[in-house]
Amino acid sequence: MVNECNQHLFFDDLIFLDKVFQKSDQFFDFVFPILQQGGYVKESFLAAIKKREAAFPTALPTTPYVVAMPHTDIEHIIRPFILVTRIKGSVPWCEMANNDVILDANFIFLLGFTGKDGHILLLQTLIASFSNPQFLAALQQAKTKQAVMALLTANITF
Amino acid sequence: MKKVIVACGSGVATSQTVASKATRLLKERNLNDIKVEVIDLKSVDSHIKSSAAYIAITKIEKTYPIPVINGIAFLTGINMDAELQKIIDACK
Repeated sequence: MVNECNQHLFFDDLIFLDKVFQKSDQFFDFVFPILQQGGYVKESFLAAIKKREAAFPTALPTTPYVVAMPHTDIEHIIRPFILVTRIKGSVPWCEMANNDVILDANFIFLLGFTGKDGHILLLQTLIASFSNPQFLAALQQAKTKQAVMALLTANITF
Repeated sequence: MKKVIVACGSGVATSQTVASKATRLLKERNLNDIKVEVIDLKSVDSHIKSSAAYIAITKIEKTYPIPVINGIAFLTGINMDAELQKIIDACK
């Protein structure tokens, strides 16, 4: 680690644009092999993230787009990452704290966090940016992964 | 010094974010005698007695003797001022 820099959390191969999912478990099944092969998560991650999302759902009723931010306990993570997915259309996702309310999520930010790497501030900035309509609109309009990466690294700083 | 507690499922991201946001808003209003503390979801009950309000980020299944604040407001910005005012009122 050279310094605390957001490039350490965003990765080109962990950005997915205009994917189609019918439900949250399908999303987790899609990303898990990628995360496991990349050495980001342990084998226990898949069951853990599904269980935690069922108990503590994570979609935020942000505007103009709904963001879900699934994350699970730190022992299932090997190295920190933020996986960014833009959904084609939306995927039904239960609302944080209002478990019975199903929102239509447009973005999924899957947070992998080890708790001892000093990224708490950066994560806070990320979550705060979800309440910025201009940021979400720009993410929706970005044409390429490179454009998404540029938006993330420009806006998520601390 | 009044204590306000905040708890989420894992304590690694969401509750920290809500706590820092609420702390900053209170400081901006010069309310320096209100302390926002992140606690484990399992220990909410043991903190209730010593707290003025509980900022919840998970579904609340029971009733508490202190005001319960909607923590999601601090993540989305929607109704944030109203929820902040509830914290301030609970600490009067």
